[in-house]
Formats: sequence, structure tokens, C-alpha cells
Amino acid sequence: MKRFFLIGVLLVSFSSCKVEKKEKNSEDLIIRKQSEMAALMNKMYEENEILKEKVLKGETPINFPEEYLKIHTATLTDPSDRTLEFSQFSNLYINNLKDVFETNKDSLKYKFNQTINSCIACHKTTCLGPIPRIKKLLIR
Amino acid sequence: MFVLSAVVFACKTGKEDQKQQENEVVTSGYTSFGAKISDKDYLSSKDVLTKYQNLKAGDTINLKFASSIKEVCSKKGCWMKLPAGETEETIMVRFKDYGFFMPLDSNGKEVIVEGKAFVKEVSVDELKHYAEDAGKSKEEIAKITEPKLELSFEANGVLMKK
Repeated sequence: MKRFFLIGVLLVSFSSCKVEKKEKNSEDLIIRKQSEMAALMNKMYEENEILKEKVLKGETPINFPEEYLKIHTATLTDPSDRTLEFSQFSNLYINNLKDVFETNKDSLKYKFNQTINSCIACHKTTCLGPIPRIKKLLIR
Repeated sequence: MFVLSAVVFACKTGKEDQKQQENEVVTSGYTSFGAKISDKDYLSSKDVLTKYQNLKAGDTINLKFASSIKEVCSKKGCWMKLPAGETEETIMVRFKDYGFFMPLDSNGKEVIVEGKAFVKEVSVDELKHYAEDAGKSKEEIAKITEPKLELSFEANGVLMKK
């Protein structure tokens, strides 16, 4: 009987802890969840920061990140932004980036900047907000 | 009995943590976005307008001021417009490095913002883009035909009153 009582108390204790956690996490503000494309863009940004450092050191990068090809399928914050123009800019970006992985050391900086400029050109047509941040990637 | 004490203790600790958090919320009464900023030593939006009136294109000054949100980007919350004093003019606030966004339902909320103030000319294309973000109709967007000198602000931190 004592054992049943103890189990009962434990269950009540655990469940009340659980409820508290739920309340603590409750959020009444509507915050836009990051879209698949936004997450991919952020990942590409962080990796392009590393790539920039390599280019500045004159190191030719190896292994083009195939994951970036998700740019052609990832869900955008506003799906209607996936226009023909967007598809063309996506192709341009991917091709320019592939060039960085295939070019000789002398053209690295030029090819890298060309890639970043294709990002900026696309953002000018679709989403202006991140442009100042993207411009920081350019090698002056 | 030991297990029971441990569970009760764990719950108690949890409650205290929660209480502590609640106290912090009650004390400040704000939800924080971006860099942590204090709720002290800020200007009113009226004083800020005077600061902007003294700015020339290319000038940048660090400011911290309070206002209430007039409009927020309806797509992502990636910008907001704050009234400048009692005028119809608004200050366009964007967030440093596109690093944080405001809730989509934050229109009318009181905020304190800290960051850089400057003025810049915004092109017709850009104005149209922001009008689209704000959910304006095609007719309203078509009426935008001239560039505009904008009171701009890049916030590194925002406090929004609960």
C-alpha cells in the first residue's frame, strides 16, 4: 500500500513539473518561423564567410557543397517569390560558385566576388533586407 | 523517500527558476530582441526627430529612443516603422545584419530601440518593395513614382513592452 502511495505521489510530482515547463514555454507573439530557404541562405552565408577567408589566403577550395543545390527546391518564406527570374539567378549563383571551386589561384578573388554579386543582384529583385549583410562578404 | 525528496526538490528548483524569470520580466516588463539593451537613458521620439533634422546625408549617430510601432513587415517582421514625434513622418528601422526580426503582430506596441540613425535616399523600386512587404494594394504601390529621403535606423537591440 505504501509503495502504491509513493508511486502515486511521484506521478503527481512529475506531471506537475511537466505542466510548469509547458507554461514557461508558452509564447503569445507571432514570430515568423524560419523557412527552408532562409535556413539554407544562412548556412550558405556562414560557409561563404569561411570560403572568403580561404580565398584571401589564396587557397583553392575543394568539394563544391552539393547541398546548395537545394536552392532549386527549398520552400521560400513567400513561395510566390520563386519566379522564373529567381530560377535564373539561382542557376547563375550555383554556376559562379562552381567556378570558384574550379578556377586557378589568380582568378579566385574575381570569381568569388562574382558569386557574391549574383546573390546581391537576385536579392535586389526579391528580398532587399539582407543586402547590406551580403555586401560584407565582398572582397574589396 | 530519498527519491521523493529529490523530485520535490527538483520541482522546487524549477519553480524558483520560473519565479526568477517572471521577476525579471515584471521588473523590466519587456521582451528583448537582438542585443540586450537596458530600458534606461533613452530619448523620446520627439527628441529623436530634432536629432534627425540636424542630420545630413552620410552622417550617422548612435541613438537610443522610445516610440511605438506604427507598421511592421507583414512577411517576416524584418523591418518596422516608428513615428517621428507628432508628425506623419516615420523612422524606418531595420535590424543589424538581418540578425533578428519582430513579431508579426507587434503593431502598436511600445518599444525602445538602440542603434545607428542616418538619412538616406530610397529608390522607387525599394519603396515599392517595402510597400509590398507591408501588404499594400497594387493601386497604392503604383502611386509610388518618386524616390524619398528616409529617416533610417539600424537597430542592434530592441525592447518591446509586454
